[in-house]
Amino acid sequence: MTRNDDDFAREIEAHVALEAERLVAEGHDPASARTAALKKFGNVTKARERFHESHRNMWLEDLRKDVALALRSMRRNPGFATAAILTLALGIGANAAIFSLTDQVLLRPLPVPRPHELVLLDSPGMYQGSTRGQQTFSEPMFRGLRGASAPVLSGMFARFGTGASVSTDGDAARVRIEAVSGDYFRTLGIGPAIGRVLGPDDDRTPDAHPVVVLSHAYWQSRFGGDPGVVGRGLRVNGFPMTIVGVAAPGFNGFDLGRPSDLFAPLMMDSALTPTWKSLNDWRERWLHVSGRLRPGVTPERVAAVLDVTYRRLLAEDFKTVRVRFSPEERAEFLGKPLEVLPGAKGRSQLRTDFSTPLLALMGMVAVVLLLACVNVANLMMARASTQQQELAVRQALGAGRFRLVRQRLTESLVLASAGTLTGLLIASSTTRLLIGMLPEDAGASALSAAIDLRVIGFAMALAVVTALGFGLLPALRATGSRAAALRPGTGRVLGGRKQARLLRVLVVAQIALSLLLVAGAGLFARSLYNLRSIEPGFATDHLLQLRITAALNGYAGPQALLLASRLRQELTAIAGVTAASVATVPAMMNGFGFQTVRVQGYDPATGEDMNSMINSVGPGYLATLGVPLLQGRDFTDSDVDGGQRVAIVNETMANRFWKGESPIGRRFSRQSETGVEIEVVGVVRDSRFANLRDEVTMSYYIPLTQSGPLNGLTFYVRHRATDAAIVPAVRQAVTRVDPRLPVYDFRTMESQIAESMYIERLVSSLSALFGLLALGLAAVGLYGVMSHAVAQRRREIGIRMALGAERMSVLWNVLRQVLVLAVAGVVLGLPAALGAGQLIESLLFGLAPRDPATIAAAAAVLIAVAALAGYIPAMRAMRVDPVIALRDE
Amino acid sequence: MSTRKASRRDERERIALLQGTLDLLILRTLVFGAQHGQGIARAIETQSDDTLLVDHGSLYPALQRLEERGWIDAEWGVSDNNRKARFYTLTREGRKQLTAQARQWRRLSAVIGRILGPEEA
Repeated sequence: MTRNDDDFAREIEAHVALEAERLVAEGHDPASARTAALKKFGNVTKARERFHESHRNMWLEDLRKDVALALRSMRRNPGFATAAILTLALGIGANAAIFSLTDQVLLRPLPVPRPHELVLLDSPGMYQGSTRGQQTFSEPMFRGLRGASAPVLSGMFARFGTGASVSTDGDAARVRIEAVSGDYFRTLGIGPAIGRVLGPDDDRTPDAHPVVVLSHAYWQSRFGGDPGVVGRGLRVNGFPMTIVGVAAPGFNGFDLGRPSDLFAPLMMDSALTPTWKSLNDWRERWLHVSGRLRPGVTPERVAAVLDVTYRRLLAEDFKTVRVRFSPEERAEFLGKPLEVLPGAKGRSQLRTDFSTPLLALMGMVAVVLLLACVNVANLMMARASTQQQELAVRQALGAGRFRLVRQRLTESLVLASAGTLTGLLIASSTTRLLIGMLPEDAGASALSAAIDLRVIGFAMALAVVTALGFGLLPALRATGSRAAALRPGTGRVLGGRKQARLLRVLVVAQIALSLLLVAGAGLFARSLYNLRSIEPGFATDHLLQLRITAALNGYAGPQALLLASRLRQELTAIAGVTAASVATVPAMMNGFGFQTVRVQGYDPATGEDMNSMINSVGPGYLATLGVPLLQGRDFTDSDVDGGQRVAIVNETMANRFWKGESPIGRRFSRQSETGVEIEVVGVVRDSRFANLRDEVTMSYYIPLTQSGPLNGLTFYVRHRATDAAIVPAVRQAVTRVDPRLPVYDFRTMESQIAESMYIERLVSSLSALFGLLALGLAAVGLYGVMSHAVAQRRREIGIRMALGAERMSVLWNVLRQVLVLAVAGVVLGLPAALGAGQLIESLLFGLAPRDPATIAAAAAVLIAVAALAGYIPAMRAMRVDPVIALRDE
Repeated sequence: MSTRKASRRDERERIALLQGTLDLLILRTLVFGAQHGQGIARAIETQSDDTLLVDHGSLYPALQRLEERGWIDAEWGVSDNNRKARFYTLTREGRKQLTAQARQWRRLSAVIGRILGPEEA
């Protein structure tokens, strides 16, 4: 039924002719009748334009009008608009900031073609040998599985990420390198930006493929994007290699939190990890294995197809197992499952560590946004009550309810959009701040604070949802009262009771929601406090640490020991330094080595955990860290390689095996070195080592000299000066020993410990922020509602006071209402807070998620804040002048 | 001179239609049968004893609006004086709307009347 313009023009023409005829019939001069008719019609062109517009896009036209109306009403009431926009900006900004991180860490797939075809392999269960990371396979196992994968996978690859020392012209720098099998780039679908990427031809003979590919980002930062790098040489851990190409931009390897700078063939393993040989060894599990599904193949099908081969490979694997297994253990080993998991996002420790905290934070910001919505809904309803008459008149004049609701929702949408824009500005700086709080090795470099399209899309979706959330109810209510509002005498009290009840319900909901956040903030703050108050078992102040990698920088075998000894001497010689020493496993960095031990005269029960933590340390280590020696002696220079093997055990180990007797002179051995006796020469007090969270486990120290090949070394410097004074001297000492030696993780033990709690600190400070925000929003909401209530009851209060009511009783009357609302909110919020506590249990330390003290404190804080927010309106009520109040009506 | 002055006062005393009421009056006019635009305008004016002034320019967008809502139908026909014109008729939905809106309007005008009270002297 579309009409065209011509049709409309003909109609107007007919109208003008008819009108002219009428005028003539009434005695008008025929000559000017037409002109008169036209004049009466008004602007013909305008009418046609209006026809045109309405016909084309009535909907869009209405929208334009509604937006204009919304903007006009915002200008008319700037206080309301500012309050609403800022409230929404805080809510949406917090959401966008946390979403930005969540998206980058948890949601976004790898930047490769069709990432959802990628799968990861895993085989959890019994193993024997060394393992370097979770979900790893040995190299022979990978080759075997790959051989059987062709029917279901279009490609299968293995990768291993590690640190490396890279030098181009003398200056060594520490980079991240990814050792990859031949099908890595082809399977992922990543081509070169320049030169070539690595292929199957680089994956044939051990040590025979000295080539590397640069990541695009590293090429830009290290070589300034120079296209001449292809063909150039560099040294990786001192091993000469040739750059053959640069990978396509945007691709930084398979691990989000650890972006790779370089890619090298798996076959170059001995150059990449000089201290341990992993190729062709069933007992070394180190490779992450992944593949790409062929079209139409499911992961289950892959698992089923590979399983047949996997059983055969496990049997072969079992032949090289070096310890004796019980029949049950053997069955468990041979029966462990092969799992095929979705791999679109690659793999990342960052994701594992961060997913629960991020989801908890997402939950918290969602509650903040909900609170913001309730507040804005409150504001809108308070304002709507003053507009009710206007609306009723408009409705009576024929404006449809739908149209009015739409108009109000448009206003909500305009507010939400303004809030979103402001919120995005907040989000961008907040995200930058959050990323700044992450330690470098937790993947801070992999994350970006830029507001990308996904974040904008998320924020826009939030804007629509919030606009509906805070706008729909007020809109429906405001337009629902119809002509009732026009009844004379109802005046402003209009809908008063019903409205006041609704406002109260909203305030109770706000307090309940706030309780969630305040209780959460309390739980996290106490967790962090608990964690901080743990004594690690050594003095953490005036202690510096720095790390180097010996083997990666050309110090092999005895040279590494020499380096350690020289550097230790240089460090000790610094003025103000009281002690310095070295260890292989760094403290408070979640690092550890485990060895299964056997103790003479101790018969372990079946399945008993005989793993002990182990650390190799130089002389003076215990004194430098301040771990008290309880019995026996420290290591000395006479504890040499080839001499009597010695160890210092901790109390836990001493008590477990030699309870009540002296462990000194007792012997034990490691499962991996059957027959080699280690003699206990000392006992130290228990200290927390890997982190503050984990309980002390049994552990022992051995001398650096008896440790085997050395690579990563952590030096500790105990001093009595200021950190600022010692740091440059320490750097100079390293330079004196070897100017090319890259030093990393150079920091104070205190900042190392703080960094080890970065997730706890991040969650705790953010939840505190959100808790405060919630308190503020709830206080503003309550204040608004009570002010409104007091204003409405002015007359009543005036009458009461005229009749002799005490001012204090008026005050108390209002405050009591506030407290009723607050307590109702707290009571309703409690079950939710207790329930939500369960969800964050894994993030808590040293307290239960239902910790009564914390939840009671949160409730008390909320009630106190509510009382404070209600106090001002209560004071106002108390000051009502009965004369004025009664005259006003 | 004097006639022009008088007619100008005439114009001033005529009431411009409130937004929304034009729709109602159009529907009302069509109760008596099909009518073209000029006829509708004329009918409103005569029935109000020339008190109401129909802006012919906004009449057509109003007709367009009502037609799009399905409250009126339109087709080309021939007028009394043999001229081709577009004739509008009331639909069932339009009749329902008329009843509803008329009721509302009566209530509104009564209320407003009550609020305003008797005409001031």
